[in-house]
Amino acid sequence: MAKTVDECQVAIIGGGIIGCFIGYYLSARGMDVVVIEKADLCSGATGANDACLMAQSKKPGPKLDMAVESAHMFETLADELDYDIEYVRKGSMIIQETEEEAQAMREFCTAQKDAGLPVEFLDQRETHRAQPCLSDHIIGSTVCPLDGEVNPFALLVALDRAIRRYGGRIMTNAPVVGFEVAGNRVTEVATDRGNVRADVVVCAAGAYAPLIGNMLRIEIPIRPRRGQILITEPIAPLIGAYVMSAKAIAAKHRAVAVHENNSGKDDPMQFGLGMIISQTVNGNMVLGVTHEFVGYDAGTSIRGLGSIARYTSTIIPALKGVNVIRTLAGLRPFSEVGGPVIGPIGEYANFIVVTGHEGDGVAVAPSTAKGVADKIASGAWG
Amino acid sequence: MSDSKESCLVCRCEELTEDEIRQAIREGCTTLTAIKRRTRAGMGLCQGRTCQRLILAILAQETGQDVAELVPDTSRFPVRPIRAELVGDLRDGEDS
Repeated sequence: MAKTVDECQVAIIGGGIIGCFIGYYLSARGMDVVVIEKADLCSGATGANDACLMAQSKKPGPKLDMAVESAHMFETLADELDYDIEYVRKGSMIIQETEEEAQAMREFCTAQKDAGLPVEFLDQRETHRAQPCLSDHIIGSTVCPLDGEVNPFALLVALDRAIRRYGGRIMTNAPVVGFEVAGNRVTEVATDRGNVRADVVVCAAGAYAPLIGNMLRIEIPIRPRRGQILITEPIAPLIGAYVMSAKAIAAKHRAVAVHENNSGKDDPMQFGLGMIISQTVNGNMVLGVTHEFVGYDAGTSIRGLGSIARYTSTIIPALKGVNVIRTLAGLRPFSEVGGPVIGPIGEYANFIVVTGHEGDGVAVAPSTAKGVADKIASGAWG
Repeated sequence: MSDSKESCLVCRCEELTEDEIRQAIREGCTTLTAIKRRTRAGMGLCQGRTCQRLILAILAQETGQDVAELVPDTSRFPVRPIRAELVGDLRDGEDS
């Protein structure tokens, strides 16, 4: 029998944005926490993201509410964590290339405005005045001043330090290999580095959650969805608000199948549906992004990278002459059930799954994690 | 100006000192990639070409491992900076 190396009230599997935020909120209210990470912190989707936080893409409802609430929480997080997480709020701009997209956005944003989200419609002239680098063919845009950007690496360092300050432990290089159970309760998490006894177990393992679930014979309805990104050399400020294409929203709006069965073979960017362009605090341009079902392959592909470079250059022509210095890819937790999977699952009352945010994990992490921490601390879950 | 070893620059692109690298290791980083994410070492223009070997040596020292056992950062396209336009010229073909 493997050695028990630690015990706690809540063991959290997954050292990404969701796991670390949950660990932070739980330990800050006095609960004893261990975060169990198979590699190093931030090595999953959190470490491969475009750092953009978006409420503007969400239709009114719980997803929009979580994004808005999180945006407000992000404002004070740097002070609360006493660390510069490089949170900036330059807003987001969703650009339109066709009249069909413009019409879809008019309808979409009107509903958002009614729900209280600050969104503005810009015509062609106003759009180009706001972001002069945009290609002439862009006919209009919508902007949301609430949307911001953050440095996910810095954020995880801040959460890591905070968790330790509150007495929590972080186990890295500790892949989960199984569980001990008694009746309908999980009692221990078995890892390569020994077992951790816990009253409650949270599974925040992102794209890898199904593999964890398998160990308990629980089916977690998540599968990996790859995103590839190009990083350029630092350049002088080129954009303010980060730029996204209206194609994704227009496609959903017209009930065109967007997310189904795209293996990435034809166009990993789905003809521009996934486009995002942002500029970091250091000046690097971040160009993205693909949405591919390729299993657990986190490699980059010429097809994907070429597609991103081509499409982003049509939106901002000046990008053609900028040097790409790095590419990366990550696996998002795509949900088969249309939204995040949050709560106790299967026959185990104290096994709480929190994942399935696909590309929106960072944007909704604070409010999601706080909600989960509240339910666990109050005893409602576990 | 201090002569101490701790203040010498290891990552010139991001201006990181040996002290900052050791601090990251002491806070739990066990791989080059983890150090990179935590400190930005290796994220600059040279993408670790100058500092990777130095950081691996420091990591070996701090963790007591042989340098030969340490895993380097993930190798990714491009090998050297390349204009986005040229990346765009790459089409269907072998995956990189």
